[in-house]
Amino acid sequence: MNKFSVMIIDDNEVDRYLLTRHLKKTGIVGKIFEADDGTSALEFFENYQSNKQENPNDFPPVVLFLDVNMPLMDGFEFLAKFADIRQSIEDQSIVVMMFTSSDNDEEKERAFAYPFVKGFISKSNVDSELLKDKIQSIV
Amino acid sequence: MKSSVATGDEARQHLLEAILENAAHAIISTTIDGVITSFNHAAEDMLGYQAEELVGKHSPGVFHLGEQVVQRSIEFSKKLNIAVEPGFTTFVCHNDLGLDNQFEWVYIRKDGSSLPVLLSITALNDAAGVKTGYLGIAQDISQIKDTEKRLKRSNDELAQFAYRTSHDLKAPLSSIKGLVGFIEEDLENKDFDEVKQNLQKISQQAGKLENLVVDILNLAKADLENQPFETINLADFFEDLRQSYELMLNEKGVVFSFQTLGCINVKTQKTRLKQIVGNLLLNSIKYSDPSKKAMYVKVCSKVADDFCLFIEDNGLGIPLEHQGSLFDMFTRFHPNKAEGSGLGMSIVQKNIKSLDGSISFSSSDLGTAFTVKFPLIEELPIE
Repeated sequence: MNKFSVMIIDDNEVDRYLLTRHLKKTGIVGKIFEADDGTSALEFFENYQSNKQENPNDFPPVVLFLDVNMPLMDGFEFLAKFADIRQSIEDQSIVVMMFTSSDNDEEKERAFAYPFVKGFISKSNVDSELLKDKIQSIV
Repeated sequence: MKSSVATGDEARQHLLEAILENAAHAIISTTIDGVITSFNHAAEDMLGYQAEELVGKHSPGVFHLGEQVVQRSIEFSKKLNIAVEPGFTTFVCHNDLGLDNQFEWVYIRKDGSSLPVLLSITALNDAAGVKTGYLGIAQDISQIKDTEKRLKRSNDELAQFAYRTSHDLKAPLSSIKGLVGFIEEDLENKDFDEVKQNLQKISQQAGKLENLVVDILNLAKADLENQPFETINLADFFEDLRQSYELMLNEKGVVFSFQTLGCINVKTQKTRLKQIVGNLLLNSIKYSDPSKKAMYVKVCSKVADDFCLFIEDNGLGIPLEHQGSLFDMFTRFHPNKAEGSGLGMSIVQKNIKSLDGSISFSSSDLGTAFTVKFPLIEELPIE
């Protein structure tokens, strides 16, 4: 079975480490790209063609795990800009899972306004079984 | 007693006039068509017009905000399901339908300035019940509006604060919880290197949490005003600060120097001053720029007509686009360079404010210079 490649966008190194380990444990995740803020994540998708050439099997990642509270460009700013980029790239199947330590209803509403946002994962309540279920249900 | 009964009408008239002229609210009466028939003393004070300029000549429309009248006529038309013309009809349409009429309006004074009022209008009827005009009573609510705005602002600030602190307090705890889970796993698999690394991460997270809690407490303390004023020696004060930050200064390779001009002693609240200078100094050290040859932070005090502090560094500087939000809570402009709660400058600002001081700054990629000014506190005579 092919493994899915994913991307983690989070400024917190420890949170990236934790999610990476949980994702590896699912057994269904292959390459894990990381970005420590929204800007570099956007650049990653803007350089679509060259990334595609470099990682022919893994690019683009199928699921983006996106933190909400990030300095400089937060998760929502990223979503707004990513929505535009997503239109212009050939692969329309990339989805986003919010990965956050707050469980604010207003934030959920704002995020789910984007049709490609498929879930919310709470940082305080994450394990590999849950991740496996979520990933399998959306891809 | 009899005489007072005999002059009852007259007494009533006097009483009414006394009420009109001494009322704190503007009281204005009009004919059915809206021509002003009386304009009391409070109305003159409130609007800057004299009664004789308006009575018999104008409609209250002259001191209403025109756009608002048009706006309300549209609103009322919709609400009441009748066509309300913009103008005097807008003011009295509720009365004409037998409805209560009390709304907030904007009045324009003769000098062009504006004020918000709460205006109640009632219809005046004669003995036979025939409508003869209208009576408006307007209360200046600018103070209430200001208070409302201030309350709203501090409520918003508080909500934002609660949201961010709960997030920032929870985040390191979640991380620690997650790390502990993996440590258990790694211990079983005897992957001790990973365990060691993760223990170190836990210790960092705990440190982060500790710093945040300390900052939150400092911010809360900045609001309390029960600290004593004491005379301090500024050279000693700066030397103490240098020692507190010595480790960090050495680690980052930043040279700290200080200078005192004018009087060396000053009367202040020492803990507040320490919060102010300490946080500014900490920022200068944390956001120093290793690409510059000799990194420095200089502090200079000048005690003469007032008490001035200058803090200057050749650090990274505050990005121009963020300079407007320098004092906002939880904002950080070089998040990749150092850890921080994002509360430091709020703590600085609160403490400066409660010492009646002011702060200004200029910043570019060459560095940042802060100027903090406090009024001199006079020595209180000993009782």
